[in-house]
Amino acid sequence: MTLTSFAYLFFMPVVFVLYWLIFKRDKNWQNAFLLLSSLVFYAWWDWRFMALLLFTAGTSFLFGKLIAESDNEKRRKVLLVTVLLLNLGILVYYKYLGFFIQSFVDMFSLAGIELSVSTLNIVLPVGISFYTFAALSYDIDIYQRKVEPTKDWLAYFAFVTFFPSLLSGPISRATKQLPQYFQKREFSYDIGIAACRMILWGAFIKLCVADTLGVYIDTIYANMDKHNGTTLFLAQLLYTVQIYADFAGYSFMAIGSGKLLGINLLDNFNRPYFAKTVTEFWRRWHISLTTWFRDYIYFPMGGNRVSKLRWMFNTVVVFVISGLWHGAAYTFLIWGALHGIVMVIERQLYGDKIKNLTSKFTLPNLVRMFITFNLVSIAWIFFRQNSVADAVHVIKSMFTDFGKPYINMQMFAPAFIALVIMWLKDLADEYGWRLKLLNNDRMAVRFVTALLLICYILLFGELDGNLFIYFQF
Amino acid sequence: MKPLYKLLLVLLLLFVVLLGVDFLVGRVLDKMVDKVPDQSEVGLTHLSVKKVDAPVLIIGSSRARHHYNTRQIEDSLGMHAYTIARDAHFVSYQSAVLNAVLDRYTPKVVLWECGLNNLFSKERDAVHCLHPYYYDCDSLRSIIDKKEGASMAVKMRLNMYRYNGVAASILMQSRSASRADTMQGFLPIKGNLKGNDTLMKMPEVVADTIDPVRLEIFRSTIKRLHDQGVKVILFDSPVYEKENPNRNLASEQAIKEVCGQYGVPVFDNRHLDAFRESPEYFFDPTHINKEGTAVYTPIVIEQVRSVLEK
Repeated sequence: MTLTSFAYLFFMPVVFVLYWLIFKRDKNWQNAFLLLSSLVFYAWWDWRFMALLLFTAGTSFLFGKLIAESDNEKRRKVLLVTVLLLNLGILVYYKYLGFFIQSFVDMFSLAGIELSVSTLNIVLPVGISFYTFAALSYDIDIYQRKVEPTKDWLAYFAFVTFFPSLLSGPISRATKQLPQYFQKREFSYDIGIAACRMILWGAFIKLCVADTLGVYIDTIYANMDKHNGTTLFLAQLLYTVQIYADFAGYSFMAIGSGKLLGINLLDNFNRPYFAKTVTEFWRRWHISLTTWFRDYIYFPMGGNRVSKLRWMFNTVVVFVISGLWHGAAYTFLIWGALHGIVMVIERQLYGDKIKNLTSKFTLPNLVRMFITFNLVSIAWIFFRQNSVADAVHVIKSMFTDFGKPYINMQMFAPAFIALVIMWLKDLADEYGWRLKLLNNDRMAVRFVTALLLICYILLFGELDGNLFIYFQF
Repeated sequence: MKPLYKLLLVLLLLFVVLLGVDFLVGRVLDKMVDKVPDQSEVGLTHLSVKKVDAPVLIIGSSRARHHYNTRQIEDSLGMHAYTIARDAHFVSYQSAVLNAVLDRYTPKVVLWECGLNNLFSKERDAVHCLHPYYYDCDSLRSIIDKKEGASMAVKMRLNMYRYNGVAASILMQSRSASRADTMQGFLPIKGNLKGNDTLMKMPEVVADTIDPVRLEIFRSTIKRLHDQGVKVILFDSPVYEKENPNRNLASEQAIKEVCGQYGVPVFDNRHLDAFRESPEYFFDPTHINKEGTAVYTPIVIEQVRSVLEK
C-alpha cells in the first residue's frame, strides 16, 4: 500500500476515525493503535519483512538504553558501533551487496580475470533506508547526549514504524518527533482541515503532474534510440519537474496524514527550484535527508571548521554517500559527486556571500535560478538513467541531435495544465503573493477549489499507475 | 459541535457534492464520447464496442490497423469489412472488444492479428480505455475485473473514474479527428527502412513466462467465437527480423494450442519470402508500410479464401 493507492483511500479514513473515536483514551492506547495500523500498512506490501522493521526498532531501542546507562566512553562507543553495524549491515545486505559483488567482478574483468558469480536477486524491503535512518538517529542522539533514552517502548515503536513516513519519509528524527508520542494527542479542527488540504494538494501534484508526466517520459526513455536530442532534452526538463512533483507530492501527503493523527513530521520540501544556488537547493530539497547527513556525517567530519581542502573533500564525500543512499549504482554515485563538486565551485565563486543572497524577485536572481535549475536538471540525467552509458548518450544527443520534439498532446496537455497550476502556486508562495484558493478566507472558494482539484485528479490523474519514484530507495 | 464531528461533516458534504458533480460530468462525457469521430483512437474504441456491424472484422493492434487493406479484403470476399484494431492495445483489449461485439451481433469472419508473442507477461496489455463501457457489457466487465482486480467494481461507480485518462482524448480528439483519415479503420503508413538495413536484427530470446490471466481471456474468447459460429482466422504479419531458432516459443505454442482446440487456422506470416530482406516494404522492423500492404493484403486474401472454401 502506498499513500496514493486505492487501498489507502479506505485505510486512512478507517484509521483516522478509530484513532479519534475509540483509541483516544490515553497516549498508550493511541500509540498501540498507531503501531498496529503501521504494521498492517507495512504487511500489506509483504508481511515477511515486518520482522526486519521490528528488529531495527527493537535493537535501536535496546542499544539506546544500554548506551545511556553506560558511563564508560569506550563501552558507549562500542555499543553505538555495534548497533550501527547491525542495522547498516542489513541495509548493505539488501541494498548494496549485489552492487558490490558486481563492482568486484567488473574490477577483475578489467584485469582480464573473469569471475563466475551468479546474480543475486535480493528483494529490497521498501522503506528500509528511511526507517533505518530514523532509528539510528535515536542511538546517535543518545550517544551524543542530545536526547534522553525512553523507557516507553510502545511510543518508540510507534515512532519508528509510523506509517505515513515509513515507506518514503520524511525521515523522522528522535529529537523532534519522539516527544510527541509521550503525550496524549488532542484533535484540532483547524489542524485537521489543514492536513486534508495538504493531502489533497500532494495528491494533485503527485497524480496529475508527476505521474502523468511520467507516462510521457517513460515512453521517451523506453525508446531512446528512436528519439532525437531535442525530445530527450524536453523529456529531461520534464523529468526535473516530475521528480519534484513526485517526491514533494508524496511528502505533503505523508505530512498531512501525520497531522490528521496529531503527529507533526518534518518539512521535506521548500520549493527547491526557486533556489539561486545548488547549495541553497539542498536547503530546500529532501530537507529531512539533507539535515540527517549534515548532522550525522558532515558535522562529525568537521563540517566547515576545517581547512579549505578538507572542507572540499568533506562536501564531495557527503554527497557521494547521499548518492549511494539513493541507489546502488554508479549513476547515483556520479549524481551525488556532481552536486558536491558544484557546491565546492559555488563556494569558491561566491565566498561567504552564498549565505546572504537576497530572495527578492530580481533579474540577477532569475538568472541564478535558471542556471541552478539547469545544473540540477543535468545531474538528474544520471539519476534517471539505468547506466552511465545511457546518461552520456542522452547528454550527447541533447547537444548534437536537434530536431522536432515528439509531443503527444493528449498525453501532455492535462499534465501541462496541472504543472502550470503547481508552478503558479509555488511562485505565489515563494514571493508571498496573494493567491489564496485552498486557504481562502471564504469557505465557498475553499470548497469549490477542493472540489475542482478532486475532479481534476479523477479525470486526468494517472490513477493506478506509477509507483512513487522514491519508493525504490 | 465537537471538532472531530465538524470535520467529518465537512468531508461528508464535500463527498455528497462530489457525487452530484460526478453524475453531471458522467452524463456530459457519455454524450460527448458518442460524438467523437470514428477515425480517432477513442472514437475507434467507441465504434468497436457500440456501433460496428460489419460481417468481416479485422482486429489486432497497430499491426492490424496498418497492415490489412480493408477495402481490398471487402471487395475480394464480397462482404462489408471493417478494421477495429487499435494501436498498442493487445490480447485482452482485443478479446474484450470482440466480446462486446458478440453481445450485439455475430460477425461472419474475424481476421485476428493477435501477435504470437503477446501472451508473455512483460508485453503490454492495457484495457484502461474500455473503462467507460464497464457497465454496458457483462463480458467486457468480466475481462476488466480479471485484468485489474475486483476493486474495479467500486472504482467504476464514479463516472469520472470511468473516464479517467480518456476524458482528455474525448475533449481533444473531437477537434482533431481529421488528422487520421482512415479507410474503414485501415490506416497505411508512409516511409520505409531502405538504407537502414542495420535495423535487421536477430530478435532476443525473451526470458518471460505466459500470463495465465491473458491466456484464459484469449481461450474464453476463442471458445465464444467458436460457439457462436464465427469463422476466426489468426495472423501474424511480416517482421523485418531474422528468424531466431532459439526464440522463446511458449506464447506462440499456447496460442496455437488454443486455436487447434477450436479449429482456428493460424497463419504465421512473419517470415514470408516476399518480405525477406525487403526494407522497402517496412516502416520499422515490426510495421509494414503502404507498399508492403499492397503486397501483403493479396497474400492474406488468398489465405482467407483457402480457409473459407474448405
